[in-house]
Amino acid sequence: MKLLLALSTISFFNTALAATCVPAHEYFPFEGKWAAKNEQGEIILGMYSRMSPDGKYVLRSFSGQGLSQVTLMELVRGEKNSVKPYETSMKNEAFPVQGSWRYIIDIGGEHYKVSDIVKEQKKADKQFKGGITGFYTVAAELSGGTAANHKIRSLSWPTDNADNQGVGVLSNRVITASINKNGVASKIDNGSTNYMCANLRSSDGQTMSLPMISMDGAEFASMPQNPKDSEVSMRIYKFGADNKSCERVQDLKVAVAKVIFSRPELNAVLFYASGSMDNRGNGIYFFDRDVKKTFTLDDPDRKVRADSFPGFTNDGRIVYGAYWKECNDKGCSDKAGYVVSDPYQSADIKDFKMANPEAGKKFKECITDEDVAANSATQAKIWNYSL
Amino acid sequence: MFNQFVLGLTLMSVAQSVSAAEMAPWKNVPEMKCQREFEQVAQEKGWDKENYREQVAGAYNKTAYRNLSNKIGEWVEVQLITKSSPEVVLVQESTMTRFSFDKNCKVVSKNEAWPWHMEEVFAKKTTEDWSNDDLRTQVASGKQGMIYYWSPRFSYSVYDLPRAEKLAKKFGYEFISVVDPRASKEEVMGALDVMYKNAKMKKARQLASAKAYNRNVAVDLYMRSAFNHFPIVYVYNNKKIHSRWITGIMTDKGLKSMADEFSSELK
Repeated sequence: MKLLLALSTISFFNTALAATCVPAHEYFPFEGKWAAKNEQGEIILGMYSRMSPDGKYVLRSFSGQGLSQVTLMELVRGEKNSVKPYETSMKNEAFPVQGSWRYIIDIGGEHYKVSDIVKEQKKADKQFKGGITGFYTVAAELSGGTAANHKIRSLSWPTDNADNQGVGVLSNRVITASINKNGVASKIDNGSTNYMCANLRSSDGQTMSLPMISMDGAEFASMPQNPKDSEVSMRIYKFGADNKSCERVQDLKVAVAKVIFSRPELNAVLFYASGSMDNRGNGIYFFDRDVKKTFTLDDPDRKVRADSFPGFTNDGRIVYGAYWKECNDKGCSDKAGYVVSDPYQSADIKDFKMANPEAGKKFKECITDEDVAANSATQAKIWNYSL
Repeated sequence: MFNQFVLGLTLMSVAQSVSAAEMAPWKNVPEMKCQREFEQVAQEKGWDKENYREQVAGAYNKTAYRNLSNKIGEWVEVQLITKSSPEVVLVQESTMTRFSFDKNCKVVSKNEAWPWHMEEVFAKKTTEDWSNDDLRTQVASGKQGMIYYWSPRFSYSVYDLPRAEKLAKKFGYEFISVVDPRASKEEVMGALDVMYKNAKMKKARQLASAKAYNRNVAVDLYMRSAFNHFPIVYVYNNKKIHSRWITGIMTDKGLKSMADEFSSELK
């Protein structure tokens, strides 16, 4: 009897102390005046979305007539999840410095602090200008940086002629920036433009499409338009030490939309693809680079149709714009907004773990509220802009 | 050490055991059930004569290969499932048939509805839709041409439409643009309005064809991975459509170079 009581007590404490899993899927529907429906009863999702490392914000372009061209959307968790927009003066396809999200960059290279956009919205002032400018540009903060000294690598195509811009030879530039004791950021080194991947001309060709940089700026993904040695497929490359050469490190072997990287420690990528003739999946796929498997994120009851711009949080959650159905006794209604999914709770990963117990150890049971809180606290320090 | 070796072998997915775009990707797949029976059916149906390209599959233990179809509207998709028998999805126009094997390795076929995410898109039809028949008519001209597939949800695909049309004509290609059927007509027309205004501001760019609005419900283009990104350009010539495509906005020279390469390969 005493043993039973002791076991029950241990069990009780374990349960009480156990961290709580985040929901497998959280839904943040667009509601309010800014989310007015069009004549077809649909809400504009916007495009080119980028997710902040804590999952708090989504930066998106073309957000609908009720909003500025580029908006920062805050996902507000609560009893009733909601989305709060912040307007900006930026133009299509403004982009964040991935990894840290220390800045959001307008297409002209103007760097803005996230805290200024949240506080001042369209009136926010830029901190400095730098990096590669042009369409489809992406950027990331190189690892090891501090508020006082951090390097930002931007990646795109040269766009010296606005009427002749387009996919071609990739280029990148690394600038160095610093935040002073007053929280003001400035550029301290302008870097130089490096034209890339000439060493791969005979295998991958030099015309790269859909580039995306990794969170630490050490790698990038791109789909060579016309590779010489194989079929078209999305590939992951490492930036050479000279910032010019490229090393192919992984071939996903499939043609997909832009790849999004997790933080390096998780070693995974995300992408959108129309996929095979199945009823599984919502369009977003999760590829683990260690086990080399692709997983789906299903929530079959809601019939989620994701858009092409997913993102990872640093705690491993996956955020994406989507349309879905909310059904009850009275019928179903169509919704649009953002979905936050925990990949570790997906049926596909659970099936994999059951069939591959040893390899499955890489994947934890779930992402917890504690994980999310710790990650948010880390991100909040960056957004304090203090030394 | 031995365990790690075994684990490594276990983790070699079906996908890793074959390379993309090849004939009979089911060859040399370890622990495949009903292999002999499948190969017999594949031979009877002519599936073993096709070239295949890998597709993203719907589960971690599946690998999918779709043929590089030479016949508009007809597709073969082979789905290899770890430690199980394969399945084949045959698409013929709007009919989808799945071939699988029962426990005695006897082939079983049944017609299925489109996957629900496709049904959502392709079930709604209007008189203005651009279909497989339109695609066939376009390609049947025998001339070389470009099909520019755009979406109001990808702004660059909107802005570059007039330039692509102008370049196609300059390089001696027929040109037609078709639009993402997931977008509402209001979205499409709104995007075109913005594009026209943008084009007027940039005198170097001419306006796109008045026929820019062709709601594309040609499932054939969907099967060519058309939803992954916009714009996407397909090249046709000599009554055939090339199995590769051009993704994103190209420089003038780049577009000509790739289109010419694809076009010449179709002669």
